[in-house]
Amino acid sequence: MVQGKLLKRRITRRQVLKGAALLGISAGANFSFLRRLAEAAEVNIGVIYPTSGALARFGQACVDASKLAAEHINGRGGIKSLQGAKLNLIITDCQSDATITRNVTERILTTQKLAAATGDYSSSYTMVSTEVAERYSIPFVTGSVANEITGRGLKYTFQVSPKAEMFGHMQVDTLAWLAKAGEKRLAIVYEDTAYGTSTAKGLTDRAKQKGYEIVLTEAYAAKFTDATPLVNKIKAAKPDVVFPVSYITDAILIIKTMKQLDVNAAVIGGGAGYLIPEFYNGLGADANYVFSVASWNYDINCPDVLKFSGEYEKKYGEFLMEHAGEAYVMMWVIADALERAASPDPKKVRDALAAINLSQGPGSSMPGCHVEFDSSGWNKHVHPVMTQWQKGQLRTVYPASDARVKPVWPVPPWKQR
Amino acid sequence: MSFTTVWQAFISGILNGAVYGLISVGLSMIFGVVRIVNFAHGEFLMVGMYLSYALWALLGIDPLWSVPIVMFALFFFGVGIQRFFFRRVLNAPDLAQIFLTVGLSILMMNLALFLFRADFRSVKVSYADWTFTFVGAIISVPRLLACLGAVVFSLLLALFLLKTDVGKAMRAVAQDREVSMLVGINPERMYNIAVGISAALAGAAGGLTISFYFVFPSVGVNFVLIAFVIVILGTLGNLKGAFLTSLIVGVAESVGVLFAGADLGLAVVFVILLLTLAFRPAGLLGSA
Repeated sequence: MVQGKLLKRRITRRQVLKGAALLGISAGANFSFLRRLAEAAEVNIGVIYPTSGALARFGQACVDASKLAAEHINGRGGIKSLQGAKLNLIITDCQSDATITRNVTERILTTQKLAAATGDYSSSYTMVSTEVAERYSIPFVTGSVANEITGRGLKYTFQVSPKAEMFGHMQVDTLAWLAKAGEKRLAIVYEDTAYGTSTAKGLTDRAKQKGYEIVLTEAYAAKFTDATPLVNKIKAAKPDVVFPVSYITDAILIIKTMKQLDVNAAVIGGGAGYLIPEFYNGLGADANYVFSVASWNYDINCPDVLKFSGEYEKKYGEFLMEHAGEAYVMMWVIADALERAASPDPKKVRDALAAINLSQGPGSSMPGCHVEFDSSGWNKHVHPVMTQWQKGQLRTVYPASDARVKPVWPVPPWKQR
Repeated sequence: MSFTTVWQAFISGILNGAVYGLISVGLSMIFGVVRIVNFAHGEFLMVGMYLSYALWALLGIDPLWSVPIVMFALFFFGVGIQRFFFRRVLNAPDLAQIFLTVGLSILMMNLALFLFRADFRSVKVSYADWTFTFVGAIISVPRLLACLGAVVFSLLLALFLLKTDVGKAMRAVAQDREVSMLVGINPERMYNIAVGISAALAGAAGGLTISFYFVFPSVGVNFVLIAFVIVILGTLGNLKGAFLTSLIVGVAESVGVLFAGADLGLAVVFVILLLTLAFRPAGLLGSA
């Protein structure tokens, strides 16, 4: 369908040229020039995120960040190799539902003339969207973390973010780096969907490998309205460090309840709820000293990050969250590919993405400050980072090459905060 | 497993169960009087929470003080829902009623999403972190206040139903609509009041929980599933049953987490539900 449209357009252009030549007037050349300008004026990019339903909170932030990136790209003159073509975002809501994701992805891929698509944030929807994109040969750039996303031999899928298994490793490695006093007893609690279960598995394996004693492993249903039963159980296990993998409300309730029950273990969270403005808004100063692993953070040590995160914060009134930050970076990655492809043809954009090697500019602003895809489409220079809430700010503290500040360790007990 | 740990689980189960109670009593009441299963009940709670949040964020009113205001507003909200929606399907088949209330639930959730975005909002009160120790168990003050509030409002409702003329008339309508009309009761009016009170109780639950929970468009879902289990366990339409069962379910959930696993707290509740349905199909307080 997309090809058909392209073919038709080429014929009309040829007809225009032919007509111009027949008339023998120089204006003909201008016509074709004008025509090409009009054609290049916009490049459609599909942007698919859940902006309603359970995952809407993150999805909306991702859409905002994508819009801001497009605004910045268009503002500095669009895609230069396409005569300054502007990015036109086709924003679609996948409603936090895998079946709907399949339908909406299929719909925008077939009805809109897309050069590339991006999005989903949640791995389970990305698995679906990337499959559809492969079928229609549209490159799909994602910041989702599941290992399987680039493990399926898909040619049109590009993953800028670290993989899920690396997060658990980062959590344990940070502890190994921090804990000189011999914090040995670990409690691992995780929300019981695919996200929590897979993250907890990587965490458990690495912790065992490094010789830690796991005193509690507990899956929980994230929709609880009271964390007391769970924290009560953590308290009884007497851990030195708690590794919770949580969503949003459960993350806040766990910390709040740990304070109430005076559980003084350090907390190294597994992302999501530990990384969002609500975490601090809901907990206030009690959020301080909590660690969490992240696939991205607004203060990682790449040159452009502080500038665009600052602009996002000014515009939307909250700091740029990890997945939204990746959404911003991905738009620049797509822009870079378009620039080098010099064409909105999705096949050419795909080849340009595969050959990408960005080590400067906003498009390189992932941890490691370098975006280059391996043969499976995964950004081989990326790794997760460890963050810590310090004086109300979520700061990157590890690895040292990504961090601008040092971690606070050991974590003071509740009564001394 | 020390005594303190189990005792702590028991106490927090009671505190949480009382809040379930306030939500379940309202749900059970709509069923008992109006004979409609209200799948939008969780959204009544959500509206109450947003209202309580707004009063705090815009006017600085502590959510505890604003509970009466929220209840008052929600009462009329409930009356409106009854007059414009429920009334039209009272004699319709069950399926039509289900579609209506589920539709209302989706509509309200999406309206909230449109108006307030998907952000998780919470209020900050000075007593949010206050705790005290009661025989070794640590008790959170806002949760205790919510529990006490739930008990007080449930008792007030019982007094209203047992002692006032309107309450007696409402019970009469619940028992037999036709006969109650013969003695001069206007059932439509009783329906309005019943749905109004039910919504007001959900609003009270919202105002009481927001100091330690959050409000977001789909918050009702987190509470209402358990409320449905409770009203079935406690016999549909039986308010005393709903409240007592709430306490049992709260404790079963909390102690279940301790002994069966944190993702099995609800499973324990559902096992109780299945056993009850098998042996006492009309619920714990129902007569077979």
